[in-house]
Amino acid sequence: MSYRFLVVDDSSVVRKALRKTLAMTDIALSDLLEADNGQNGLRVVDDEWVDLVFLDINMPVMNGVEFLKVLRSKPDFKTMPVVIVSTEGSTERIKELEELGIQGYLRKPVSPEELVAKVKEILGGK
Amino acid sequence: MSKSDLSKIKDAINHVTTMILEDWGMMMVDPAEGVKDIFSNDNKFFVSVVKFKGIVGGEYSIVCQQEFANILARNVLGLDEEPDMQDQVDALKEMANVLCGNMLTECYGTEAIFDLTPPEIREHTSSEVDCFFNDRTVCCMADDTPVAATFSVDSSS
Repeated sequence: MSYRFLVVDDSSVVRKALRKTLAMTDIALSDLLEADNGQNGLRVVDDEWVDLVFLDINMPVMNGVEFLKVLRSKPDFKTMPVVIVSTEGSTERIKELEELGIQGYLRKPVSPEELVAKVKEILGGK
Repeated sequence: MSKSDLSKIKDAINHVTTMILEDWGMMMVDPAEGVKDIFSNDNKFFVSVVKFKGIVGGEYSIVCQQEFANILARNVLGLDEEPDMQDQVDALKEMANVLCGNMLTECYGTEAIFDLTPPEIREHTSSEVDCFFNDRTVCCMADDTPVAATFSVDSSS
């Protein structure tokens, strides 16, 4: 089985680095979709099936929290796996995100090993 | 700002900058001897700025030159060839973002909430960056290229 991921981050460097990291793993990735803000991220999930979302928080136009709220309001996406990848460090913000429903939180800078371990942990059940 | 607060923040910037340049930037970091004089006055400067607000508000800035941006982008993206200018700019922006977020957590703990703006990059000449070199500036050499980090806190904080 191969997977399709979405990375939502305004930094092209983060998106490119993630693509390179995933390409070097044994994760069967059929496609890595990209969006540079929450609004564009929502357009992607509306158009394409996605198995997992990597989501930044601080983005222009629509930030990660707003994206997550909208995503979880849609019946089809209530359980779509979302992993936060952010510099956000406050426990209150993380708690807010957990209440919205996330499957993981990775603090930037994220090592390739941490990223892969989290992906395998989430997809392991699939 | 009290001397001890200033010292605490500079220590945090030093620690976080070193850790992130080494772990994320994959660079060898050494202390710098000097401040602005470690840079080349003939080359343009890049300043990447992140504004923050929360229990305190202010700005966090990274000051560097082309060579540093080139090495950073190349390392972060795992490139063999020269990274294009956009990748260099984006790498600097992301570095400022990561450094600022980690610095704020180190200084104020995980209970404090901060909002950060998306990073901005500006180009400056040597004379235009003098304002970034002051008692709040921390400098180091990363892969033998100079980089500085500085911050300002709003006077109402």
